[in-house]
Amino acid sequence: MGLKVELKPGERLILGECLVTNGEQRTRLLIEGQAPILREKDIMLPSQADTPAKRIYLAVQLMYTSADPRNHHDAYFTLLRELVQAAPSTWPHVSAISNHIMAGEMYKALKSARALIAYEKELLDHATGRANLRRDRHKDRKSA
Amino acid sequence: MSDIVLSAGVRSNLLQLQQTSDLITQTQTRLATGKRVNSALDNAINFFTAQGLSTRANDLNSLLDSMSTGINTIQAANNGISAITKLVQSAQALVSQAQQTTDTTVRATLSSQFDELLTQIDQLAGDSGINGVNLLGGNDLTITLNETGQSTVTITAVNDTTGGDLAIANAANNWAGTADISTAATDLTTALVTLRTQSQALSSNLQTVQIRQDFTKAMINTLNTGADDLTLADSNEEGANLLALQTRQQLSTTALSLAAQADQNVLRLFR
Repeated sequence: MGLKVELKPGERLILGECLVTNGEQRTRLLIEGQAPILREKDIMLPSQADTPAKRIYLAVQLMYTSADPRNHHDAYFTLLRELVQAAPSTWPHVSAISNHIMAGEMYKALKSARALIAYEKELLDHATGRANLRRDRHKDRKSA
Repeated sequence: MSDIVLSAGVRSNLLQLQQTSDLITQTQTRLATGKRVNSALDNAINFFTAQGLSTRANDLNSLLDSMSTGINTIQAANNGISAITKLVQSAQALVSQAQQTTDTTVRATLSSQFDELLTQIDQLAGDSGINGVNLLGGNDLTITLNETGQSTVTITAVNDTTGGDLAIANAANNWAGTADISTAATDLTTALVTLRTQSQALSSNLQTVQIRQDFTKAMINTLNTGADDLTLADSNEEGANLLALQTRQQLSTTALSLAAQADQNVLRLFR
């Protein structure tokens, strides 16, 4: 049992309360036990969390890596409520995340949060895409 | 009165906010013209999801009840362990008193007091349950943590009687010999270690369940408050709402506190 992780040279990994940085060679690790594990590609920094869904991801990630996740419940549910009110169709994603958290499957919760970010991007692209279309239409009219 | 100075960041946020509200107005205009995309009717699943929120809150409420009972049971066991620990410590005091005297009459009295304490320990171990579940008396406790019942915590019971896990023998020979007293002393030290280990395991289980309970409570609140004002929109409107929210959150305390919390977390090492 345990989790097999393969790290590229210089790749980083959060393991419990520690940051592990790989040396110059590829490394294979076998990790057993209960500590939270986050790979570099899965880590969201506060500076990167600039959309509602990304902030939810950050909140889940904080719950995962904290000794006492209760400190982050408030932030999580505030963000969740704001998101669902703005875009009710995100509910199935949000619900999946919450169910995983309830079951203590934090890694799966993060995975669902990633799906939420992808869905949010669709919606945001839709809104900005339409706005751009309108702007272009304006240009078209001028040239005609 | 002095002027309010806005930083460049806040200024650009405000500008974005104004632009976003323009966008919402445009979206609403388009809605009014009947050009709807992905209406509620097109997506029946979302509609029924929203309908099911209150039902969901009820399911979670019953889950919460089982968690509360579980927490009470663990706390009862933990209190039992504390009380038993005190009795073991009193027994240790009797042992050290006996070690300081050679008077066999005094030793005999102390040894009978010692045996009485052991009886009290056994009674306490038998009385540390709630609703027929006694974690110190061999009844395992399983607490369900989600509605599907897939996630559970099982707390394995111990047997905290002097004849069980604590393994403290009754006073031998009325403690006439020094060896009899040292046997009791060794038994008590081992029992204290056992009790400490058990208490740590219980505390860790207790915390797990309390964290889930806290989350579930907050979840129920969200479901209850969120169920009524969820109005289904098309994806254009949702996109515009999200843009507005994105801007609004930049200035929000939640976003700021998230960043502050990340600074106190292992994430701070990740720069």
